[in-house]
Amino acid sequence: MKEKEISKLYNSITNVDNQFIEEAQTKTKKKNGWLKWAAMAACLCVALVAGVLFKISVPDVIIAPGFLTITVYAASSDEEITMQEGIGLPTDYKWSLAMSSRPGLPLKLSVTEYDDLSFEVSVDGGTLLLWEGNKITYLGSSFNTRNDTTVYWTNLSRTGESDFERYMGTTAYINIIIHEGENIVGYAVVEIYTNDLENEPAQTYSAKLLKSVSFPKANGEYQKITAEYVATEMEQIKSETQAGQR
Amino acid sequence: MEDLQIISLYFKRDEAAISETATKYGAFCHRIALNILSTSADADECVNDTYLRAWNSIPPQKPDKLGAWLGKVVRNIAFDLWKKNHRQKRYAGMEQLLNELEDCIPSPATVEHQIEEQELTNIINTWLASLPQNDRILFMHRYWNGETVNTLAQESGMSPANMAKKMYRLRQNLKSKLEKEGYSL
Repeated sequence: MKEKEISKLYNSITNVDNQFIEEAQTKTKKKNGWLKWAAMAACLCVALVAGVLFKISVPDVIIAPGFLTITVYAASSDEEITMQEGIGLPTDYKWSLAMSSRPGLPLKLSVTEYDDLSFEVSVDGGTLLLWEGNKITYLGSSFNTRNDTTVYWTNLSRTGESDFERYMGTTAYINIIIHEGENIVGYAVVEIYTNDLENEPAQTYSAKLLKSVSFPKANGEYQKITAEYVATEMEQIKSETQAGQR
Repeated sequence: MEDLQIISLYFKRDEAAISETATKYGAFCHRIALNILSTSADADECVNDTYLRAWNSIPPQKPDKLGAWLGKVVRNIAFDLWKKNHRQKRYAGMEQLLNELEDCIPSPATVEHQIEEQELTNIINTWLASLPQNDRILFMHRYWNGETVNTLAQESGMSPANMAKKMYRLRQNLKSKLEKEGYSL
């Protein structure tokens, strides 16, 4: 009976984990414009006063344009396209589920100036995979890889040994943190998105390099860049992108 | 006042527990009830019943998260009230008879029924965890808080049509997950 099933669904939604309920209550949506600006102005005043009175200095981080090269490949040929670095010059690259001979949207990560480099890659929607010698390896939501690796993003998610389900979100982000030894020397954020709202699931996805940043050495020393700092910057980039899309 | 202090008042059987609950969570509870029932008087009744249930249930219960616990109680009471009013208003004759006869039927909350609902909740929890945070929050605002599509669209700066599309996608996504787990709703 439909009513009974709907009641069951309603009750089950009612009893979801408390963390989701709290998350939804604490993540408030857009505040009143004047309130937001008043709050920001108040914060600025406090920061200025505090800065003047106590000479608080924010740790300086020197940033430079990213040195990471992300190369993508056209759907039906081997034509290479290098994604442009920097938020001002986003490059769109489209990939079609139906047209491509590749198992996912390919992104080759490479850096030429540094030797001992590794990439810490994570994705918050869909799955990244490796495709080497016709063998497909599904990667976890976060993993480390070496220079010159091509990873593929797919809207499939592995839920078991041979079980998959479609990622139904319209946006996903790939976070790439570049390490040299134990030091963080750069990062990049790539947005995967679809405008294909007609198909379920979407058939065509685009990739856009939102930002690529490097942290050059200062006085011959690595800057002390923390993972928290990079995570905050990445979230800021995503928030600004989402706000711009609205 | 912190949740633990409020709960401690309930345990001491101090009636200040109710007023402190109302101060901290009254607006939250009322908003959920109003979203479901659409009538302020019904929402007030529902919130008062929630306080009563809290008074009768704590102790022995000791909620970890008082806000979430109250929200669940409000949703349950609001849904029961909505069903009762809905039947009385729309199907005055036969439905009213059936509604009254329903009192003769033992509670449907059998162990089997509860296990089924718990399984469904587990699947929904897994599904929610797999969503991007923005989508998860939107889903919760719509289907847990009961906010309207227009309200969500306005707050997110999206058009109502786009918000409706987004909700449709989320529902289809959930449907696909449920079907995969053997549920066909």
